[in-house]
Amino acid sequence: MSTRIEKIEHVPKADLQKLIARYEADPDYISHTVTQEDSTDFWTLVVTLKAAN
Amino acid sequence: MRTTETFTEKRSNLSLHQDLHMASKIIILFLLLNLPIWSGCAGVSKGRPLRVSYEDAIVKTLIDKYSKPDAIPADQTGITETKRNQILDELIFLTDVNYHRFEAQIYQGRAIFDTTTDLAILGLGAAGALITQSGTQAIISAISGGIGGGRVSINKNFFHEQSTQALIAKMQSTRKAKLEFMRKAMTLKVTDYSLARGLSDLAEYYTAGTIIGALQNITVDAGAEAKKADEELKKLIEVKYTTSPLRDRINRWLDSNLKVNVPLLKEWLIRQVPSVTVSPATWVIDPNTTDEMLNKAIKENNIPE
Repeated sequence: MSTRIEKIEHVPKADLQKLIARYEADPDYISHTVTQEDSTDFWTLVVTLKAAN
Repeated sequence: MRTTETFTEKRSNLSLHQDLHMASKIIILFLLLNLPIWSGCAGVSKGRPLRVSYEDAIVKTLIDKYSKPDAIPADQTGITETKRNQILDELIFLTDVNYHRFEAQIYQGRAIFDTTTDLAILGLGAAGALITQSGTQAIISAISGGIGGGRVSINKNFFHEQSTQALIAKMQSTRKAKLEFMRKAMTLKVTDYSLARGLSDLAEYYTAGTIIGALQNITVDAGAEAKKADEELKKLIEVKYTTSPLRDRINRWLDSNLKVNVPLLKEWLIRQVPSVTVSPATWVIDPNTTDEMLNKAIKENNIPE
Protein backbone atom coordinates (compact mmCIF):
# COMPACT_ATOMS: atom_id res chain seq x y z
CA MET A 1 0.00 0.00 0.00
CA SER A 2 1.29 3.42 -0.97
CA THR A 3 1.40 5.99 1.83
CA ARG A 4 2.04 9.68 2.33
CA ILE A 5 3.20 11.64 5.36
CA GLU A 6 1.91 14.95 6.62
CA LYS A 7 4.10 16.63 9.22
CA ILE A 8 2.58 19.44 11.31
CA GLU A 9 5.02 21.53 13.31
CA HIS A 10 4.49 23.92 16.21
CA VAL A 11 1.14 22.56 17.38
CA PRO A 12 0.11 24.12 20.73
CA LYS A 13 -0.39 21.50 23.41
CA ALA A 14 -3.98 22.70 23.95
CA ASP A 15 -4.89 21.98 20.31
CA LEU A 16 -3.02 18.71 19.89
CA GLN A 17 -5.71 16.18 20.83
CA LYS A 18 -8.40 17.88 18.76
CA LEU A 19 -6.08 17.98 15.75
CA ILE A 20 -5.26 14.28 16.13
CA ALA A 21 -8.99 13.48 16.31
CA ARG A 22 -9.53 15.29 12.98
CA TYR A 23 -6.86 13.14 11.33
CA GLU A 24 -8.34 9.98 12.85
CA ALA A 25 -11.67 10.84 11.21
CA ASP A 26 -9.99 11.00 7.79
CA PRO A 27 -10.85 7.83 5.79
CA ASP A 28 -7.18 7.62 4.70
CA TYR A 29 -5.74 7.79 8.25
CA ILE A 30 -3.29 5.03 9.21
CA SER A 31 -1.26 6.20 12.24
CA HIS A 32 0.47 9.13 13.94
CA THR A 33 3.36 10.01 16.23
CA VAL A 34 3.93 13.10 18.37
CA THR A 35 7.18 14.60 19.62
CA GLN A 36 7.64 17.57 21.90
CA GLU A 37 9.66 20.42 20.44
CA ASP A 38 12.69 21.49 22.47
CA SER A 39 11.85 23.17 25.78
CA THR A 40 8.48 24.48 24.59
CA ASP A 41 4.78 23.71 24.89
CA PHE A 42 4.62 23.00 21.19
CA TRP A 43 4.51 19.59 19.54
CA THR A 44 5.26 18.13 16.14
CA LEU A 45 2.64 15.74 14.80
CA VAL A 46 3.55 13.28 12.04
CA VAL A 47 0.57 11.55 10.42
CA THR A 48 0.73 8.62 7.99
CA LEU A 49 -2.13 8.34 5.52
CA LYS A 50 -2.97 6.25 2.49
CA ALA A 51 -1.66 7.97 -0.63
CA ALA A 52 -4.28 9.60 -2.81
CA ASN A 53 -4.73 7.88 -6.17
CA MET B 1 42.55 -17.29 -89.43
CA ARG B 2 38.96 -17.96 -90.37
CA THR B 3 38.61 -20.03 -87.19
CA THR B 4 39.88 -17.11 -85.10
CA GLU B 5 37.55 -14.63 -86.79
CA THR B 6 34.60 -16.94 -86.33
CA PHE B 7 35.49 -17.38 -82.66
CA THR B 8 35.85 -13.58 -82.20
CA GLU B 9 32.57 -13.00 -84.01
CA LYS B 10 30.81 -15.59 -81.91
CA ARG B 11 32.29 -14.11 -78.75
CA SER B 12 31.20 -10.65 -79.83
CA ASN B 13 27.71 -11.93 -80.52
CA LEU B 14 27.63 -13.65 -77.16
CA SER B 15 28.76 -10.44 -75.42
CA LEU B 16 26.06 -8.47 -77.26
CA HIS B 17 23.52 -11.07 -76.26
CA GLN B 18 24.63 -10.86 -72.62
CA ASP B 19 24.45 -7.04 -72.68
CA LEU B 20 20.94 -7.15 -74.14
CA HIS B 21 19.94 -9.71 -71.55
CA MET B 22 21.37 -7.50 -68.77
CA ALA B 23 19.65 -4.40 -70.21
CA SER B 24 16.33 -6.20 -70.32
CA LYS B 25 16.79 -7.26 -66.68
CA ILE B 26 17.47 -3.66 -65.65
CA ILE B 27 14.42 -2.38 -67.58
CA ILE B 28 12.18 -5.02 -65.95
CA LEU B 29 13.63 -4.14 -62.54
CA PHE B 30 13.06 -0.42 -63.17
CA LEU B 31 9.45 -1.08 -64.14
CA LEU B 32 8.87 -3.30 -61.10
CA LEU B 33 10.35 -0.74 -58.69
CA ASN B 34 8.32 2.16 -60.05
CA LEU B 35 5.04 0.31 -60.50
CA PRO B 36 3.83 0.87 -56.90
CA ILE B 37 4.58 4.59 -57.17
CA TRP B 38 2.81 4.99 -60.54
CA SER B 39 -0.10 2.78 -59.55
CA GLY B 40 -1.49 4.64 -56.57
CA CYS B 41 0.89 5.35 -53.69
CA ALA B 42 0.39 9.04 -54.42
CA GLY B 43 -3.36 8.66 -53.82
CA VAL B 44 -2.92 7.60 -50.17
CA SER B 45 0.21 9.57 -49.34
CA LYS B 46 -1.65 12.08 -47.16
CA GLY B 47 -2.99 9.22 -45.04
CA ARG B 48 -6.04 11.17 -43.88
CA PRO B 49 -9.22 12.58 -45.36
CA LEU B 50 -9.32 16.09 -46.76
CA ARG B 51 -10.07 18.88 -44.29
CA VAL B 52 -13.63 20.12 -44.13
CA SER B 53 -14.22 22.94 -46.59
CA TYR B 54 -15.47 25.48 -44.04
CA GLU B 55 -12.39 25.13 -41.83
CA ASP B 56 -10.29 27.67 -43.71
CA ALA B 57 -13.06 30.29 -43.60
CA ILE B 58 -13.49 29.90 -39.82
CA VAL B 59 -9.74 30.00 -39.27
CA LYS B 60 -9.41 33.17 -41.34
CA THR B 61 -12.27 34.86 -39.47
CA LEU B 62 -10.80 33.96 -36.08
CA ILE B 63 -7.28 35.00 -37.04
CA ASP B 64 -8.63 38.37 -38.24
CA LYS B 65 -10.58 38.71 -35.00
CA TYR B 66 -7.65 37.94 -32.69
CA SER B 67 -5.14 39.94 -34.72
CA LYS B 68 -6.85 43.12 -33.57
CA PRO B 69 -5.15 44.78 -30.58
CA ASP B 70 -8.35 44.95 -28.50
CA ALA B 71 -9.47 41.34 -29.18
CA ILE B 72 -8.41 40.38 -25.66
CA PRO B 73 -9.09 43.27 -23.28
CA ALA B 74 -6.18 44.42 -21.15
CA ASP B 75 -8.59 45.15 -18.31
CA GLN B 76 -10.25 41.83 -17.63
CA THR B 77 -12.38 42.89 -14.66
CA GLY B 78 -15.53 42.98 -16.80
CA ILE B 79 -15.00 39.56 -18.36
CA THR B 80 -17.87 37.14 -17.73
CA GLU B 81 -17.67 33.33 -17.71
CA THR B 82 -19.41 33.25 -21.12
CA LYS B 83 -16.97 35.74 -22.66
CA ARG B 84 -13.95 33.96 -21.13
CA ASN B 85 -15.11 30.61 -22.44
CA GLN B 86 -15.83 32.01 -25.90
CA ILE B 87 -12.32 33.46 -26.17
CA LEU B 88 -10.69 30.28 -24.87
CA ASP B 89 -12.86 28.01 -27.06
CA GLU B 90 -11.97 29.96 -30.20
CA LEU B 91 -8.27 30.00 -29.38
CA ILE B 92 -8.37 26.28 -28.55
CA PHE B 93 -9.95 25.70 -31.97
CA LEU B 94 -7.15 27.66 -33.69
CA THR B 95 -4.53 25.77 -31.67
CA ASP B 96 -6.15 22.45 -32.64
CA VAL B 97 -6.26 23.30 -36.36
CA ASN B 98 -2.63 24.40 -36.22
CA TYR B 99 -1.64 21.23 -34.38
CA HIS B 100 -3.48 18.84 -36.68
CA ARG B 101 -1.87 20.41 -39.75
CA PHE B 102 1.53 20.22 -38.05
CA GLU B 103 0.97 16.59 -37.07
CA ALA B 104 -0.03 15.69 -40.62
CA GLN B 105 3.06 17.45 -41.97
CA ILE B 106 5.56 15.75 -39.70
CA TYR B 107 3.93 12.35 -40.09
CA GLN B 108 3.49 12.63 -43.85
CA GLY B 109 6.86 14.28 -44.49
CA ARG B 110 8.81 11.78 -42.50
CA ALA B 111 6.80 8.76 -43.63
CA ILE B 112 7.43 9.67 -47.26
CA PHE B 113 11.14 10.11 -46.60
CA ASP B 114 11.41 6.75 -44.83
CA THR B 115 9.31 4.97 -47.45
CA THR B 116 11.39 6.41 -50.29
CA THR B 117 14.68 5.46 -48.72
CA ASP B 118 13.40 2.02 -47.74
CA LEU B 119 12.19 1.49 -51.30
CA ALA B 120 15.56 2.61 -52.64
CA ILE B 121 17.39 0.24 -50.30
CA LEU B 122 15.00 -2.59 -51.17
CA GLY B 123 15.29 -1.83 -54.88
CA LEU B 124 19.05 -1.60 -54.85
CA GLY B 125 19.23 -4.82 -52.88
CA ALA B 126 17.02 -6.53 -55.46
CA ALA B 127 19.15 -5.16 -58.28
CA GLY B 128 22.22 -6.51 -56.53
CA ALA B 129 20.66 -9.98 -56.51
CA LEU B 130 19.77 -9.86 -60.19
CA ILE B 131 23.01 -8.34 -61.51
CA THR B 132 25.70 -10.91 -61.11
CA GLN B 133 28.79 -8.82 -61.71
CA SER B 134 30.53 -8.44 -58.35
CA GLY B 135 31.85 -4.96 -59.15
CA THR B 136 28.37 -3.62 -59.80
CA GLN B 137 27.09 -5.31 -56.66
CA ALA B 138 29.79 -3.61 -54.63
CA ILE B 139 28.87 -0.17 -56.03
CA ILE B 140 25.15 -0.79 -55.40
CA SER B 141 25.88 -1.94 -51.86
CA ALA B 142 27.86 1.25 -51.25
CA ILE B 143 25.01 3.43 -52.58
CA SER B 144 22.49 1.43 -50.59
CA GLY B 145 24.58 1.82 -47.43
CA GLY B 146 24.89 5.56 -48.11
CA ILE B 147 21.13 6.03 -48.34
CA GLY B 148 20.55 4.04 -45.14
CA GLY B 149 23.24 6.04 -43.38
CA GLY B 150 21.68 9.27 -44.57
CA ARG B 151 18.33 8.28 -43.17
CA VAL B 152 19.79 7.43 -39.77
CA SER B 153 21.64 10.74 -39.73
CA ILE B 154 18.56 12.77 -40.69
CA ASN B 155 16.35 11.04 -38.14
CA LYS B 156 18.98 11.44 -35.45
CA ASN B 157 19.40 15.14 -36.14
CA PHE B 158 15.79 16.13 -36.54
CA PHE B 159 13.88 13.70 -34.37
CA HIS B 160 16.51 12.69 -31.78
CA GLU B 161 15.92 9.06 -32.76
CA GLN B 162 12.39 9.07 -31.34
CA SER B 163 9.94 7.43 -33.71
CA THR B 164 7.30 9.65 -35.26
CA GLN B 165 4.60 7.54 -33.61
CA ALA B 166 6.16 7.99 -30.15
CA LEU B 167 6.42 11.75 -30.60
CA ILE B 168 2.87 12.09 -31.86
CA ALA B 169 1.54 9.79 -29.11
CA LYS B 170 3.26 11.90 -26.48
CA MET B 171 1.97 15.15 -27.99
CA GLN B 172 -1.57 13.76 -28.17
CA SER B 173 -1.61 12.43 -24.60
CA THR B 174 -0.18 15.64 -23.09
CA ARG B 175 -2.56 17.80 -25.12
CA LYS B 176 -5.52 15.64 -24.08
CA ALA B 177 -4.63 15.93 -20.38
CA LYS B 178 -4.20 19.68 -20.64
CA LEU B 179 -7.46 20.11 -22.56
CA GLU B 180 -9.37 18.04 -20.01
CA PHE B 181 -7.99 20.27 -17.26
CA MET B 182 -9.00 23.41 -19.15
CA ARG B 183 -12.50 22.13 -19.91
CA LYS B 184 -12.99 21.35 -16.22
CA ALA B 185 -11.61 24.73 -15.18
CA MET B 186 -13.85 26.54 -17.68
CA THR B 187 -16.90 25.43 -15.68
CA LEU B 188 -15.66 27.57 -12.76
CA LYS B 189 -16.54 31.15 -12.01
CA VAL B 190 -14.28 33.75 -13.54
CA THR B 191 -13.04 34.69 -10.05
CA ASP B 192 -11.71 31.15 -9.63
CA TYR B 193 -10.43 30.67 -13.18
CA SER B 194 -9.59 33.97 -14.83
CA LEU B 195 -9.09 34.61 -18.54
CA ALA B 196 -5.41 35.33 -17.83
CA ARG B 197 -5.03 31.91 -16.21
CA GLY B 198 -6.86 30.35 -19.13
CA LEU B 199 -4.52 32.03 -21.62
CA SER B 200 -1.55 30.79 -19.63
CA ASP B 201 -2.97 27.24 -19.80
CA LEU B 202 -3.57 27.72 -23.52
CA ALA B 203 0.14 28.51 -24.00
CA GLU B 204 0.97 25.24 -22.21
CA TYR B 205 -1.61 23.44 -24.39
CA TYR B 206 0.13 24.79 -27.49
CA THR B 207 3.59 23.78 -26.21
CA ALA B 208 2.31 20.26 -25.51
CA GLY B 209 1.75 19.92 -29.27
CA THR B 210 5.30 20.75 -30.30
CA ILE B 211 8.26 18.45 -30.96
CA ILE B 212 10.25 20.21 -28.24
CA GLY B 213 7.38 19.75 -25.77
CA ALA B 214 7.06 16.05 -26.67
CA LEU B 215 10.81 15.46 -26.35
CA GLN B 216 10.84 17.21 -22.97
CA ASN B 217 7.91 15.10 -21.75
CA ILE B 218 9.49 11.89 -23.05
CA THR B 219 12.72 12.84 -21.29
CA VAL B 220 10.81 13.51 -18.08
CA ASP B 221 9.05 10.14 -18.37
CA ALA B 222 12.32 8.40 -19.11
CA GLY B 223 13.92 9.81 -15.98
CA ALA B 224 12.36 7.13 -13.78
CA GLU B 225 14.59 7.83 -10.83
CA ALA B 226 13.93 11.56 -10.91
CA LYS B 227 10.21 10.89 -11.19
CA LYS B 228 10.29 8.49 -8.28
CA ALA B 229 12.19 11.06 -6.20
CA ASP B 230 9.61 13.70 -7.12
CA GLU B 231 6.81 11.39 -6.05
CA GLU B 232 8.51 10.66 -2.75
CA LEU B 233 8.92 14.39 -2.21
CA LYS B 234 5.24 14.94 -2.92
CA LYS B 235 4.36 12.31 -0.33
CA LEU B 236 5.98 14.34 2.46
CA ILE B 237 4.00 17.44 3.32
CA GLU B 238 5.41 19.76 5.98
CA VAL B 239 3.15 22.44 7.44
CA LYS B 240 3.51 24.90 10.29
CA TYR B 241 0.38 24.98 12.45
CA THR B 242 -1.56 28.20 11.79
CA THR B 243 -4.71 29.64 13.33
CA SER B 244 -7.08 32.42 12.29
CA PRO B 245 -10.80 33.19 12.83
CA LEU B 246 -11.73 31.52 9.53
CA ARG B 247 -9.65 28.41 10.32
CA ASP B 248 -11.10 28.25 13.85
CA ARG B 249 -14.61 28.43 12.41
CA ILE B 250 -14.00 25.49 10.08
CA ASN B 251 -12.26 23.49 12.83
CA ARG B 252 -15.21 24.03 15.19
CA TRP B 253 -17.51 22.73 12.46
CA LEU B 254 -15.26 19.69 11.87
CA ASP B 255 -15.11 18.95 15.62
CA SER B 256 -18.90 19.19 15.96
CA ASN B 257 -19.30 15.95 13.98
CA LEU B 258 -15.93 14.49 12.99
CA LYS B 259 -17.18 11.31 11.31
CA VAL B 260 -19.47 13.26 8.96
CA ASN B 261 -17.79 16.63 8.43
CA VAL B 262 -14.18 15.48 7.89
CA PRO B 263 -15.13 13.16 4.97
CA LEU B 264 -17.49 15.87 3.68
CA LEU B 265 -14.69 18.47 3.53
CA LYS B 266 -12.34 15.87 2.08
CA GLU B 267 -14.71 15.19 -0.81
CA TRP B 268 -15.17 18.93 -1.38
CA LEU B 269 -11.38 19.42 -1.53
CA ILE B 270 -10.99 16.63 -4.10
CA ARG B 271 -13.62 18.31 -6.29
CA GLN B 272 -11.63 21.55 -6.48
CA VAL B 273 -9.53 22.51 -9.53
CA PRO B 274 -6.77 21.66 -9.08
CA SER B 275 -7.79 18.87 -6.75
CA VAL B 276 -6.58 19.14 -3.13
CA THR B 277 -5.39 15.78 -1.84
CA VAL B 278 -3.99 16.64 1.61
CA SER B 279 -5.99 15.71 4.66
CA PRO B 280 -8.75 18.24 5.53
CA ALA B 281 -7.12 18.73 8.96
CA THR B 282 -3.86 19.77 7.26
CA TRP B 283 -5.57 21.94 4.65
CA VAL B 284 -7.33 24.03 7.32
CA ILE B 285 -4.19 24.82 9.37
CA ASP B 286 -1.84 25.17 6.36
CA PRO B 287 -0.60 28.80 6.07
CA ASN B 288 -0.68 28.40 2.27
CA THR B 289 -4.47 27.95 2.31
CA THR B 290 -5.84 31.34 1.32
CA ASP B 291 -8.72 33.18 3.01
CA GLU B 292 -10.46 33.10 -0.38
CA MET B 293 -10.44 29.29 -0.37
CA LEU B 294 -11.44 29.13 3.31
CA ASN B 295 -14.39 31.45 2.62
CA LYS B 296 -15.34 29.33 -0.38
CA ALA B 297 -15.33 26.20 1.79
CA ILE B 298 -17.46 27.97 4.42
CA LYS B 299 -19.96 29.16 1.83
CA GLU B 300 -20.26 25.96 -0.20
CA ASN B 301 -20.44 23.66 2.85
CA ASN B 302 -22.78 25.96 4.82
CA ILE B 303 -20.36 26.10 7.75
CA PRO B 304 -21.97 28.08 10.62
CA GLU B 305 -20.34 30.89 12.63
